[in-house]
Amino acid sequence: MTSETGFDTGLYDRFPTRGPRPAGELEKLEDAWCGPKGWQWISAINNNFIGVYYLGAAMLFFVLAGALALLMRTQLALPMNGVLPQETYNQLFTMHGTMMMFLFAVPAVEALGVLLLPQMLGARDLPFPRLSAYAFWAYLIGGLAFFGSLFFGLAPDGGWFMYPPLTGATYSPGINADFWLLGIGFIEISAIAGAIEIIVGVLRTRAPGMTIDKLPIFAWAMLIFAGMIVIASPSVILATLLLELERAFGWPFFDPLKGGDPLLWQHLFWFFGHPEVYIIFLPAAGAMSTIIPAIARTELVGYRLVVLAMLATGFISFGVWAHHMFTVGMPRMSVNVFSAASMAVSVPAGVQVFAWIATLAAGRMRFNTPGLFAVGGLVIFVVGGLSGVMVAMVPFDWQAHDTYFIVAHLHYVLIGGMVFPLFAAIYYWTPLVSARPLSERMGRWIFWLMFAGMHLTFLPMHLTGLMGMPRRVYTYLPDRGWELPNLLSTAGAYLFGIAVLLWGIDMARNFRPFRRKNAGNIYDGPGLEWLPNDLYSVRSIPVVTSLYPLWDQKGLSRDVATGRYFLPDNPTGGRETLVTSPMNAEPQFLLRMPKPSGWHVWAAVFTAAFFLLLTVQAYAAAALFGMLAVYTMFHWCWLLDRPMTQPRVDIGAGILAPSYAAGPASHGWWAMAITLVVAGMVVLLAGFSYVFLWSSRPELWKPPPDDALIAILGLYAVAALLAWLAVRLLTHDGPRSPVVSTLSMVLSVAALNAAGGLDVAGWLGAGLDPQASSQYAAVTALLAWQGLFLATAALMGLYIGLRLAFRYVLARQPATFEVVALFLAFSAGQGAFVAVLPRLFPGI
Amino acid sequence: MRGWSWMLSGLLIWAAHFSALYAIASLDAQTSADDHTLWTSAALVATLLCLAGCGLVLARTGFGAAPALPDRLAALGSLGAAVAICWQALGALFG
Repeated sequence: MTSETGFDTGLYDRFPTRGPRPAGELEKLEDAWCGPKGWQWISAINNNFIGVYYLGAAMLFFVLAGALALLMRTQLALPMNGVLPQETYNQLFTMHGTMMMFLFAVPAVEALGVLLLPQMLGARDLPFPRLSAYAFWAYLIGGLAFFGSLFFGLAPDGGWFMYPPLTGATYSPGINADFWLLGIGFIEISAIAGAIEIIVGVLRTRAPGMTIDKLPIFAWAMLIFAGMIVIASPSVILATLLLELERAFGWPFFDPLKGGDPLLWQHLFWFFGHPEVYIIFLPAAGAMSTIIPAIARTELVGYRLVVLAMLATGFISFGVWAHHMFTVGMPRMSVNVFSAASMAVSVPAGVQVFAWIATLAAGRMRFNTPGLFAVGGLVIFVVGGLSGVMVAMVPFDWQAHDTYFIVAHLHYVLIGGMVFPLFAAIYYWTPLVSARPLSERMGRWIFWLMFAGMHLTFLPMHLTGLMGMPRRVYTYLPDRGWELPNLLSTAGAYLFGIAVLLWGIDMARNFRPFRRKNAGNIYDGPGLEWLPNDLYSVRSIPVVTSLYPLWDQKGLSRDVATGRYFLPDNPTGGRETLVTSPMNAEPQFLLRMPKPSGWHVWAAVFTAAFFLLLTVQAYAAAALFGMLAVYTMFHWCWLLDRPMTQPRVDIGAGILAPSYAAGPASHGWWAMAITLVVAGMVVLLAGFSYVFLWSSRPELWKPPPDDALIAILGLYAVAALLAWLAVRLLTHDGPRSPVVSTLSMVLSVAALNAAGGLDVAGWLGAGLDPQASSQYAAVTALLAWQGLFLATAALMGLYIGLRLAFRYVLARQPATFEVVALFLAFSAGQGAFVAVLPRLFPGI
Repeated sequence: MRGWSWMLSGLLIWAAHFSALYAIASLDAQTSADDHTLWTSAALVATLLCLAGCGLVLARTGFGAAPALPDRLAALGSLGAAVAICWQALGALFG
């Protein structure tokens, strides 16, 4: 195997090391990674804490959203029932769908990743633990505030997909819809933060030797999941921004009278909404592909095909969004293409299902609780998948659209594809984080109640749907043949509810997290997560030579626990982990990790307050909290990239590695690059929206301004050049390098802002009025988006200037400059796009 | 990045084909002409180009005894993409 980084992989032969370990080594490690005491649990950042908090919060929202479902089923148990008024029912089904998708499903699988990945990859922690903690607190505060809106009659009531014009200001006055729009936008920020953490974590913090073909299948699934979040979430962020701008300021993106188009919302929402299903399914599938081999005591059949199937699912899922829109009257060719893709996506899902069945057949299946949930989930998912192929066929979809058949289909897919695998995962991995495993006896009861309840609830819904019962009705007339299936569905829902209640009791009785000792590897799992671990994760980071290291590498647990592999101590005295290369996992540098502090918590609190105050239209207070959020984030960044004293350290067995990296080798550069992919997707989708609106009503659009396009593009080019030059000047390491390079960076920021200002001035001169037409609304939105980047660039300029004043700008530590330069170069490119696009359409 | 692009090449070609068909269908809808021959021909050209791309990837991977995971994924992905591209093109060409 050729080396990816120049690292001599022959050095792996030095492990496991021999001889006694130095005294006090373990104590130093324990001291650096000590757990929180008292109120410090709020500022904890270790994945073992944040992962448990995160999963706990997701399950809390699962229970709350489930309670809403029980209320709805009570209302629908009998015809003309009067338990809930119509308005409340509308709020309940909107909140149920929204909470299950945004506050339970995605955060739950993200939480599973945060909790398990470091141990599974053999890392001490994920590379940005404060970012994980920020994502959790932002999600918890935002989620609770969102749920709380129910108690004030302010909950959104336009359905979980919030179609305009129903959700426009005319038909949905009040702030109910705003809670959804701002709340979901905010929660997606949290999801993206988690996704960045997971991508960089999986690609850069694997144990040495864990090449891409030895990557645990769950880590593959989380990597694809996080990549999909990065691509899909910008769509819903953009959609919610546009609808909120229309509601708050009257910018007519979706108003046909002024050139808008409500179908734009559907395109944007479903470009996110359908991949969302696979975003939820893939990590759960990864968990299934991990649990099934362990309970069948054999290797996963077709590991490579399963990896390819997951990748293919990720790709194809972005080509099926319009199958939710078959009834809106799309062109014939589009309908055909989307129908074909919707059928095709069942193929990779089928590959995974057959791999699981083959693994079960090849091994010796143990029907313990995780095994039951895994097999039960498989059965339910197959039923949902088959009805999915039915609705991929356009003529059938036209009949079934918006009926209870679809409700049955989506619940079979989501419960079989996510909820049952999640319960399998909870029972399988609880011994990893708890001093006691969950009860096997209760687990079996819970499984059978849940399995029976699920089928009793949703199987009859296929019939009620085919008999014509529409979705989202709060009651129905008798004598339509809908009474019995509805009554059965309600009974099944209560059975499911009893199962969840029993699970809660099981958790209360047995779940004991944050202890020094856990219950251990009771299912004989083969992954690194089952190595002896503590708050510092593993005692030493092993060299991995197998996809199933605990089955194949004899004595690994003992040698890891006695510190005979990489990083048996903490050479810089703080929290650290190894950063390895993306493909071959060759050691690259030692990452110094942050200690707990309160800044990320305050940042989450202030960001949440900013969005909440915007929702209730307290704009001045929102601005204040927005500034506080920026300040706390600024301070958080201020703690990064401080001067270091040990440029090279011993990472085990006498192997020396740098304790610093910049540019593409560094984890921070990767995080910025992924963040910019998110931003790039937003602007790309904004470009799509712009062209979509133009193509809807081109006759309404006015010519662009005759202005200095060349000057604008020239200034953006100068800005990008100066940013690049700043990095080169700094790394040149001359006596004045820090001053000259900082000056170059500040000038780059100035050029960026000058270009943006020139662009805005041109449009204002042409009579830009965002309320007048969809064209002007779209142009203003593009300019405002670019404005956000210019403001951030100005803050970065200030940050760089302050670093110079504090003598933190050093030639041997250019990581901050590299990251800022990347941002400025992107902003310049984005600015050029924003300048050119509105001049091309309707210019051409 | 090159390694990842290579590993995902088949799926990227499928994505390019899908995007092309979506763009062609949208352009077709924008024109008022009853004759769709131009756009159907464009879909055919895009399909043939993408199939050629899949063929190139397959040819480059070779069929060694024990290829590494990236090569295996590139080959299998291209094979799968070729089937998916044909399937997807049927709807655009004959639907």
